[in-house]
Amino acid sequence: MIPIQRIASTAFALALFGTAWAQGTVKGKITDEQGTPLPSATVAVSGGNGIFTDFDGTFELQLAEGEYTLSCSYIGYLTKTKKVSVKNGETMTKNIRLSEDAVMLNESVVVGYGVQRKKEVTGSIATIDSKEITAVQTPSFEAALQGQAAGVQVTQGSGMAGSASIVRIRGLSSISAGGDPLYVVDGIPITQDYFAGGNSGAMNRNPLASLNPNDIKEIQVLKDAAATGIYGSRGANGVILITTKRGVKNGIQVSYGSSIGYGESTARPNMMTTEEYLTIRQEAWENDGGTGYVWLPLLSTPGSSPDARRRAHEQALETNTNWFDLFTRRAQKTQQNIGLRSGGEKWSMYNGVSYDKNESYAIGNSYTRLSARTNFDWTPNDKLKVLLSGSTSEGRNQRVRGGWSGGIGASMSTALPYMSPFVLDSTFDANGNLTNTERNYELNRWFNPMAYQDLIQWRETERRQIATGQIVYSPHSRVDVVVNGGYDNSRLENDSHEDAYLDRTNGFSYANWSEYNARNYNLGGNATFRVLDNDSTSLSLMIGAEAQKFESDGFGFNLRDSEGPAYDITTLRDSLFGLHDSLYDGVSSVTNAYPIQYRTDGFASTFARMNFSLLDKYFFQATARVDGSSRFGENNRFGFFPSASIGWVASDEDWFNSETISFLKFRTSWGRTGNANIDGFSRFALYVDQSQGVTYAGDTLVFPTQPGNPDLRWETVRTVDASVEMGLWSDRVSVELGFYDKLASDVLMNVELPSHTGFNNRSVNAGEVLNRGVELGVTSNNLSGPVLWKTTLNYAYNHNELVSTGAFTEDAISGGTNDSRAVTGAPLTTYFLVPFSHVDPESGLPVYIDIDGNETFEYNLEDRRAVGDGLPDHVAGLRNEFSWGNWSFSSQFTAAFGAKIWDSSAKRQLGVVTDWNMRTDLFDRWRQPGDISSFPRLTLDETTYGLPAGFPWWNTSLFMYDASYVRLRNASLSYRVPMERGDVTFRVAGNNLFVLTNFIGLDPELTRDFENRQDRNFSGGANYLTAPQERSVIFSIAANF
Amino acid sequence: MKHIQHTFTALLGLVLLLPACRWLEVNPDQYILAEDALETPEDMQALLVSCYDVLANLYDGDVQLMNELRGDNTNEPLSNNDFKAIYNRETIRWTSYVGGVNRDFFYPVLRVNSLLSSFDLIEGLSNEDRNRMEAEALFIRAFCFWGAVKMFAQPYGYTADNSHPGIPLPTFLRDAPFPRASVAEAYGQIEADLNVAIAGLPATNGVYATSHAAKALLSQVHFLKQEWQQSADLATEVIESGEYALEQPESDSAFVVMRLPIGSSSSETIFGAYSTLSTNDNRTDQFVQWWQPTANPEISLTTDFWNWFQQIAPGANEDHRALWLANQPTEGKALLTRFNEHSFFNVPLIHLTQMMLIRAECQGEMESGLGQAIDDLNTIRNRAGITSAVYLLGTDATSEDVIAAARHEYRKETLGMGLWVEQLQRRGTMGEDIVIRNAPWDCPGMALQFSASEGNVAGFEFNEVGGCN
Repeated sequence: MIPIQRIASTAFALALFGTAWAQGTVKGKITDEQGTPLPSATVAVSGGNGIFTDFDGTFELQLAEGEYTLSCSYIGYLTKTKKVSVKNGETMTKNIRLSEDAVMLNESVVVGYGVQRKKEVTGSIATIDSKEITAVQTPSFEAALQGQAAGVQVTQGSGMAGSASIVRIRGLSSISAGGDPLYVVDGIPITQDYFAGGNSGAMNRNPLASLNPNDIKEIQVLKDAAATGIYGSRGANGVILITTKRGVKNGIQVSYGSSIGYGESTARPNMMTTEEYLTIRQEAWENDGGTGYVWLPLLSTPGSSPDARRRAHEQALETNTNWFDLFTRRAQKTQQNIGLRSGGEKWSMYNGVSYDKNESYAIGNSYTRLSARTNFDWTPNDKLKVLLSGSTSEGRNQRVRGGWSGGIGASMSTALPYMSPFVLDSTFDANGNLTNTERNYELNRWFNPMAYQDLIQWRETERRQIATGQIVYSPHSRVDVVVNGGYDNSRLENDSHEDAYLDRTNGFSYANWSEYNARNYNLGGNATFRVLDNDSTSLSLMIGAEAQKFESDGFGFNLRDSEGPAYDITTLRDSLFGLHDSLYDGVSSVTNAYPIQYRTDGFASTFARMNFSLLDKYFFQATARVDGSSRFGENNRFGFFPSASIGWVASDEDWFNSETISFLKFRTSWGRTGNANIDGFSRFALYVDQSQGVTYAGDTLVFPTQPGNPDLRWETVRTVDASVEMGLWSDRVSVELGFYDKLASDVLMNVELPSHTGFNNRSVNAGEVLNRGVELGVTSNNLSGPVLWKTTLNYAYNHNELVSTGAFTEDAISGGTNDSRAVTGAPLTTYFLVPFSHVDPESGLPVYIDIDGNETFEYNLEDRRAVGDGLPDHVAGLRNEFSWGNWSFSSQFTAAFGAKIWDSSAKRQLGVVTDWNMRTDLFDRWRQPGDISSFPRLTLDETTYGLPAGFPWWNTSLFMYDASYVRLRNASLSYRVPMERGDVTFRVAGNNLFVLTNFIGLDPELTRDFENRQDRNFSGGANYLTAPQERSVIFSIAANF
Repeated sequence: MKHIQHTFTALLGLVLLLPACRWLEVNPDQYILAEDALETPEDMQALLVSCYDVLANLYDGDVQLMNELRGDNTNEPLSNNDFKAIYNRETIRWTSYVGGVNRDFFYPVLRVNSLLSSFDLIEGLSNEDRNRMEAEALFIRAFCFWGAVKMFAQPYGYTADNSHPGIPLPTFLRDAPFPRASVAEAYGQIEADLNVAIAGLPATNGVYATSHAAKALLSQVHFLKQEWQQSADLATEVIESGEYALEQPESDSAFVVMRLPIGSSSSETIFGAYSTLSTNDNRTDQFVQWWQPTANPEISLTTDFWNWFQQIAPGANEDHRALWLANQPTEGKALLTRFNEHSFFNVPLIHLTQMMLIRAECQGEMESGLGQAIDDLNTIRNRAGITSAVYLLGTDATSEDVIAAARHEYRKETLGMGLWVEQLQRRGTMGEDIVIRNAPWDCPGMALQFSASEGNVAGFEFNEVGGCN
């Protein structure tokens, strides 16, 4: 096929320069610094208009004899000019390599409800393009943001497939309301509920996993009030704008990618062998005054006779199971994706399809995503543009238990090395002869985690459709009117089947099904008026409104004696809800059918933005937004969120004259943003009645269940930002340095009420949280020429402080079971523990620090205090890219410093000897007077360590560790094979290749399961049998033509 | 220009319309808004029933078990750490089982206060019903305050003026928390509530509270205050009301389920919590779970207790109540089989036997009415199958004999019901040298610690921890 562009460009040139009898030819190729062709780049000729390059970056011009200047430009690259001398009948080749525009003054930046030139932007916005997202091959795109932008802290999810990362932008301002940024896809805020599936199996679902990273064109991270203010109601924790790929005009581009890879755990737990565990346990027993053999959990009891204990000991030594090995493997990964960008004169379309199967190293665990997207743009005339987008995806998570729930978590806790997953059951005939031997799961004595792994089928399936539409009408060259709508529909099915073998009492199998549906409707419109627009001065006004409605509901049921999972009985499932179980006699028995509570809430907003540009070097922006939310009562339903910002490009001043500084811009902003990410019904005082299925003595009842708070209002964040942007040495190096100060007030807190109030919790506005920090971003083109070397560094320091919690004390707000508390004067996520000092060399007992700072042997919970927190003070990313010819190499390091890990599971892995297996770190324990050790004398009795009898929760800083780390997040080597039409790139990439840390546990970067939003905010650094990160190697091929 | 005007007008319309969008108006459909919940007399009755409902949850073995663990009848629990903390009198703010019960005591109180504050909103509520509902509500509130103050504070008489810390007394609805009132104030509030209850409650009221129940409860209050005459008078009113009669089991084995029948109320239950078989509504979870002797139960009785039990009329042939126990001398324990007969049953909270024994002890203390006391005690022993004169009180029994017998029978008859430890504490306040498992009756840890949540607002005064062992 003859490229349409080539025909067009030739015809255009002929028409322009028309004199066919006296001409020469100029042809060439426009590429980036790595040699990658730049399609649709503009090649302008002095004295005339320009043409566009072909798909492979080539161009060809027929010009009359003479001297010309070619000007080559491409968005995001520095324009380059070249003089050519055209002679009759000659053909000359001019290949032109464009450099990326470090400052990208003229780059278009997507902002809320529009696009601006980067030069004009007065807010703090980081842009991450698709190359950076897909270079780090992660199952979910948000994990790829790690280390990409200053002030954006990403903590990867655990190594379990489908787990969610934590993204924090400029720290954390919220306590009980969600602390995650708002995600906006093609202008529509999407549903992002991390708790639709609770934390079953010790994992939260990832609501972003259904988005295909290959569909993303670029991501903008809006950080300060000037940027987020236009999203006022929900911008308090930053906004992430996701723009998906769209079609091209007059042509077709095809991209295809395929990859395979392998993954394994980044670390292995150092659990004890049978012999080691028995030694440790015996020593604890003897330290406590015991004689003879120690009793062994599951094999003997404290009351067993000495002989029984001896026999148990001998039996234990016959088995040594490495449970972690039994639950893990080398995982396989595969991905296929194809993208088709096409278009004609008035339309363009992007179609993308992808298949991604991502096994985790946990046996039986995988996340498979099948997705498709179509983006269609239609421009019937120069006044109207219609943009339609639709995506559908199915994410299937083949689940296994983890953490506290079993599986890998059990291999680090309850799965004792002397226990075997199987027993041999023998059958004998009447004469006592062995007739059969069968290997079965051992279930009679314990909660055998292998049985619960193998005999339970469990899958979660999310089906999600997102559709957006936008009509842009420009009745006048200075007016754009936009009407848009969106619909985000997701259905999460949780389906499990427990084999009858697990029910040792009745022998029933069980199928459990639940279905959660969420629907999110958006409708909005805005109009932009460019009141004044000339070369040096412009004024534009934008005014708009939008509304959003969210609904969720669902149902669930349990089937007894079901032969298989409920999804295999679809007719049953579809007709089940609300019907009596007798209808299903002979198929299975419904033991429980229940609705999942209907939830709904809505937002309605009006907003306006004014942008004023004076002399193209002074820029002013003001935004105002009024948001109403159904989550607040009528008195406080509406919040007002203004912002104002200015920018000054000092380098454009006449007096500015520097050979070093090629670009200098100052900007500052002030603004208020809000947060309403709480349960939609928190404000209501509520009663429930017998419709919930409760009666007493057969009589109906009604009772209060929630106190409500009619005065509940918006959490607001006041942000001040001041930044400087610099381009050095002709923008070869660009630097951005920023300072911010965010004070959140009226922070929403779901406080636990005193028992005697008769209510459990109440939502109030009571807190104040401060985030103050510095951000630095540096991009340097270190080398140009045959070898290119580019370095990108970003660094952020953040000070987080809980300024006030009103009248409430530390324990009123906590992070689930993770011992983090809301401590005034300390950061959020603060661990509130009894400080540990050292092990007394004489007695081997732990020495604590009391509230007055004195050493004591007494463990007193009244001595708890803030001892550390899980928020890093410093976060950094360093990326290096090298290219030589067709070879490219890149590496990306990420680092975090200043956070602490609270290893809650170490309380039992390294504390009082209980019925858990323990870690070999415990070998460094006190054994005799004079020993200097990390851990105290061993004991089976918690009172030895000063704990109250019956209180084994040893909440001491002994188990708090420095979480600082430097990680090689990604390294990749690629080779590009130029083709006649396009190219093919081969790549090998490694993720999480190594980590430097002092943490003695598995991985310093961890995300455990959380119970709710508050827990997610508070417990980011807490560990409880959390599966470590995954290390992976991916081989991929990418073709573009 | 016209285009611009039209566009702008249309957009302005959109801007103005959207905020008025009905999407801002939501209703939590599966709940009832508080302002809509209580509108009719039936709503109020349903709220009142819910008070009984949560009271029954509280007394499904939780309170009874915890009080048994505070006393001297049981061994140390097998493995439950919270139970061990109670037993060892080392409960702390985070002893979650205790914290849960602490909270459970105040669910009914909240509902009572909600009901009391809503009468004026109800149309069509007769004065008679209003008075009854108020009386029932106050009875329940008094029952909760009474249960909580015995558990979370040192007993009445611990200080001369009972100014020592009691419990918070939320007697009306308000956002701000209530401070901890003194024990004197708590008892004052309980008595005040019960006096209103006695005046307003009917003599019969189905499975719900009656005037006799309120009198019986007030009798117990006076008993712990050592106000013998008031206690005995109220007990007498209840006993002589004719509404209640001692159960007379038809066989020895029927003793096992004495006062615990399902389906019909026991003839001697004055007030109780009810399970409903037809709806599988079981209010005995904690009894069944922790005492169940089929396996190795979490809670067992001591061998000392078994030996004490055998002091009078040893063996089930002499005292059928021995069927409540299964002695395992080699294991150093005896199992309580009393709650083993049914998977669930009705739970007697106040019963006739208790009233008879309280009155008897009061009469012993007052040294008056001893004949009646002796008759009552012998009746109870006869009912238990004891017929030998050796084990019955003679007509010449002294007041000391009566008191000793009353206490003996009280300990037996209330076994597993958590009512013994308060008697030990009362005797301690009377000057008796009471030692409970090697610790004085008034050691700090005897008062269970409040839930940590009480400290979530600054200023709450917690109990002293431990100090008993």
